[in-house]
Amino acid sequence: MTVGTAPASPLRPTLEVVDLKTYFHTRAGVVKAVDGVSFALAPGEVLGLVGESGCGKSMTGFSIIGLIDPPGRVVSGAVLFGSSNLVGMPEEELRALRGNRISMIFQDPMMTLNPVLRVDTQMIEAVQAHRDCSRSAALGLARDALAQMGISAPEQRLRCYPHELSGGMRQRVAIAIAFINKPDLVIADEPTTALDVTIQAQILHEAQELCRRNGTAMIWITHDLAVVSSLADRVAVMYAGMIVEQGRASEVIRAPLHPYTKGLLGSVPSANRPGARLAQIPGMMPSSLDPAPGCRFLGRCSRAAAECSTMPALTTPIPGREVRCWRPLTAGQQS
Amino acid sequence: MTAYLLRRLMQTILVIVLMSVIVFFGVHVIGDPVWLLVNPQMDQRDIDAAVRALGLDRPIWEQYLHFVSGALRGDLGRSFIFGEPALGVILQRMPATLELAVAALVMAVVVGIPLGLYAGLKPDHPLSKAIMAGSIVGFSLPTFWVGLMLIMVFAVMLGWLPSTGRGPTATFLGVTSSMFTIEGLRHLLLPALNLALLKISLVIRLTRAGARESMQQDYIKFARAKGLTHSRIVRVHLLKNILIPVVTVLGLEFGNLIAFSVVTETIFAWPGMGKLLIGAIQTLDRPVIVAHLIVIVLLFVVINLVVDILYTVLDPRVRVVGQAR
Amino acid sequence: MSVAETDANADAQRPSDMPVALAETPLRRFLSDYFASWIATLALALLLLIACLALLAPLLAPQNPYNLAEVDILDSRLPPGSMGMAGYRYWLGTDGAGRDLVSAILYGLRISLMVGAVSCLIATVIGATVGLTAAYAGGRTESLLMRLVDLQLSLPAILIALMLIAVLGKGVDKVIIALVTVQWAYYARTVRGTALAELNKEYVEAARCLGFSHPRIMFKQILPNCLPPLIVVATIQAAHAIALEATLSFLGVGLPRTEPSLGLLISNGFEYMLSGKYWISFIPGVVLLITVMAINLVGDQLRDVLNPRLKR
Repeated sequence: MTVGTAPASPLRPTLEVVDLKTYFHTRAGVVKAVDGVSFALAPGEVLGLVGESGCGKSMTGFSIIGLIDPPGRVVSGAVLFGSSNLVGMPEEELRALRGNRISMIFQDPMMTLNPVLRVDTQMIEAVQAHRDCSRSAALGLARDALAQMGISAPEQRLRCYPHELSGGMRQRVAIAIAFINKPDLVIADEPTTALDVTIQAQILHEAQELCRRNGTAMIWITHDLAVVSSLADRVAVMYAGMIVEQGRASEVIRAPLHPYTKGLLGSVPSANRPGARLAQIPGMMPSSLDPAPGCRFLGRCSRAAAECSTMPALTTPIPGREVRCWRPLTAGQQS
Repeated sequence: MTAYLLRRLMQTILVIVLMSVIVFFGVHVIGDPVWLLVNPQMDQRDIDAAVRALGLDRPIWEQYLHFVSGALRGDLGRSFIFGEPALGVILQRMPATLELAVAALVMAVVVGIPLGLYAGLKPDHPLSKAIMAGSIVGFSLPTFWVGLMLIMVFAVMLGWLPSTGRGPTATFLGVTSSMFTIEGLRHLLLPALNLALLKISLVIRLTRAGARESMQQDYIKFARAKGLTHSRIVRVHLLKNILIPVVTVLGLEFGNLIAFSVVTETIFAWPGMGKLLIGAIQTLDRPVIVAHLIVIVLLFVVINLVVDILYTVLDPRVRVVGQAR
Repeated sequence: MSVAETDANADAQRPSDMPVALAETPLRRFLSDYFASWIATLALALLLLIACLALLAPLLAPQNPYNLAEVDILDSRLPPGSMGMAGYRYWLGTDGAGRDLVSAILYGLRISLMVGAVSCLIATVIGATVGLTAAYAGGRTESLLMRLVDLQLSLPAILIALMLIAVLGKGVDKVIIALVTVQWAYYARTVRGTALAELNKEYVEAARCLGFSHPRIMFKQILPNCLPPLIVVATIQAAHAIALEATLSFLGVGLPRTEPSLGLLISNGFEYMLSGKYWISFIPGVVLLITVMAINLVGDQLRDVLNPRLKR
C-alpha cells in the first residue's frame, strides 16, 4: 500500500504516519476524529496540513506526539519515527522524545506559557529535562534561541513573566522552546492564527529559517491556504477526519484534484473579483460522531454521483499526487 | 508596590476606626453603657461615683473620644471578674490560642494539600472518591461533637492522650510555646486536630478543584509537549498555580480558626482567649467582651493585610497591575 | 396546556421519521439531572424523612421529655435498649435526668430545624432584597451596600453570633436574630452577582421600555432568574445555621433550656462522657451530623446540576 508520496530523495523519511485512527468514546457515541490518515515526511520537509475547524488536523498532531487524553485513544495505525512506532510506546520513552526529538507549538500563546513562571524558568526546564546541563549553560542556550528568533535584548526578555510580553513575542518564545533541543520534527498547530497578519508573516519566515538551518521537518497545521502556499513544500488537505488530497504545494494549489480543495481555494477572499459574491462551499462539515458510510464530502459536492455513497479509495492519478475521490477534477475543471 | 501597600494600610486604619465607631455606638444604642464599665453589683453611691469618674454622664461624642484615647493607651476597662485590665487579661491568653490556631493550620496544610492533589489528579481512583466522601463528612461534622468524640476515643477508651488542658511550655528562638515539649505536644494534638478537621476538608476541596481546573489548561499540555516529567509538572507548574487561591483562602481562614477556637477551647479546657470569651458572656463580664471584640477585629484586619501582601508576592500578574496604578 | 397536550403538539410538529423523545421541559431535565446521583437522591429522601419526623415529633415521640410528670429520675443514665421502671424500653437510652433519648432527640430536631429554617428564610428575604437593590440601583448605593456585605463576610460567623448574643442576651428570638445576621450577607452577595448579569439582558430593557415600576422589574422579572444560585446558597447556609445554633447551644449561649435543641442535649451529655456513658452525647450528635450532611449533599448536587458552566 502506498504510504503517502515518497520524496524524490532516497533518505529514510523522518516520520511515517500509517492509517492513523483516533477515536473518542463519548456517552453520545464514537467520535472518529482521525479516521485513517497516512502521510510521510522527509528530513527538512515542511508539510502543510490544511482543513476547516473540526476536521481533525489538530487531533492528528496530538496523536503523533502522544498527547491524546481519555476519552480519546489512538485505536489503530502506526506512527513511525526513526525506527520506532510511537503508537503504543511506553509513556516514559515518549516523554524522552517530546521536546527533544519531536516538539509541538500550540495555537494560543496566551495560555501555553505558565503565567506564574518566568520565561527563563520555562526555557531552561525544556533543556534540562533532556540532558545534563548546568543552569547557566541552559540559560545561554535559551538566550541564543531567543536571539535566533529575532528577539532583541534576550536577557531582559528571559527575566520577564509571560503576561509582560506581547502575543507575538510569546509565540516566538514558544517556537524558540520548540527548537531549542534541535528536534527532528516540529508539529506547529495553527501557531499564527491568533496573531496579527504582519506578525504572522514574520513568524512564518523565522520558523522557515529555523527549519532550513537545522534540517528539521515540520508539520504546519492551519486553515489558511495562503500560509501553506508560501511556506510548505507539500500539502495535505483534511476533511472530516481523512486526507482527501496530498501533493506538492505548488501543484495542489495550481491544479487541485479534489472538489473540496477547489472549493477551499475558491473561497479565499483575495481570489474574488471586487463586487462579486464571495464563493462558499454550501453546507457544513458533517459531524464526526458515528459518521455515515460513503464519501464524507457527499452533500456538499457539486459533482456527487451514485458511486459516492461508498467511501472512495486513495488513488494516485498523477505521480506524486494522491486524492480520495471517485471523480477527481480534470485539467479543465481545476481553475 | 509601596503605593499599593500604603493604600492598603490606609484602608486598614479606616476599617479599624469604623469598627470602633460601630462597637461604641452600637453598644450605646443597644444597652446602657454604664453596665459595660461599672459592676452592677456595687451599691448605688459607688455606682454614681464610678459613673462620674468614668465620664459616663458626659455627651456621647465626648465619651467616644475618651474611649478612643483610652483604647490607644491600651486601657479598655477593667474586668469585673478578674479585677485586672481587660486588655491584659486577654493578651495573657492570646499565645495559647495562637498556638492552637497555628498548629491547626499546619495540620490542615500538611494533610489537606496532598490529599486534595491526589483526588484532583486521579479523580476516578477509588481512593479519590473516598477522600471526597470523607471531605463532605468532615465538612458536616459539628466541631464540638467531634471534639467530644475525640476525647471519648483517645482519652477515655484508649487512654493515649490527655483530655484537657495545655501542656508545659518551652522557649525556642524567643517564642514560648507548648509545641516544644513532648508533653505539650501530647496535649496539643487532640485540640489542634479538632480545630483542623473542618479546614482539612476545605483545603482538600479547594486543592482538588484547583488541580482539576489547572490540569485542563493549555500550559500543562505544553509542559507535557516539552517532555517534562510528570513530577516536575505537578511540583512546579501545577502547584504554584493552585497555591494562590489555597493560600489566600487559608490566610483568611486563619482568622476563622482563631474565632472557632472558642468551641475547642471550651471542650478541651484550653486556656485561651476563646474560653475567656465564653466565660465572660456567661458571667456578663462586659469589659472583657468589648476588649475581646476589639482585639479580634484588629487581629483580623492585620491578617487580611498580610494575606493581601502574600497574594501579590505569589501571583506576578497582580504585581504589574498594582504598579501600573 | 397540560404536559400531555404539549407533548402531543410537539410530536405533531415533528417530521414523522425523526426519533420521538419526551418533550424536555427545564423542570424535567432538572429532575432527571438531580436524580442521576443516587447519593443525592438518598440524601433528599433522608432529609424529607427527618423533616417529617421533626414536624410530627409530638405525635411520634413515646414520651414528652419536658413534661416532668412523664420523666422518672430513677431511669436516668440507662444505656440504649434497657428496660425502664414503667416497663417501657428506652431504645436509645436515657440522659442524666431520666429523659428518653428518642423523644428528646425528636423534640430537639424539631427545634433545631425550626430555628434553622426560620432564620434561613428571613435571611434569604433580607439578603435577596439587599442584593437586588444593590445591583439594580448601582452607583453609591451599591458600593455602600456591598462594602457592608464584605465587612460582614470578613468576620467569622461564630464571632458575630457570640457578640450579638453577648449584647442582646439569650432567648430564641435573639438566637434567630444572630443567625439571620450571620447569613444575610451570603445571599446578598449571591443575588447581586446574578442580578448584575441579568441586568444586561434584553428582557430588563424591554420591561423598562414598557414603563414597569422598579420594584416590579426587580422582583417579578429579575428575581426569578436569580433563584437557582440562591437555592444552592440557601441549602448550604441552612446547614451552617443548624450547625451554628447547635454550637451556640452547646456552649450554653444559644437556645434556653426551655427550648432544648440537639446542641443542648449534647452539652448535657458532656459531663457523663468521661465516665463512659457516651450515648447521651454521641447519639444526638450522630443525628445532627446526618441532618447536616444530608443538607450539604443535596446542596452539592443542586449546585452541580444548576451550574451552567459544567459540561454534562
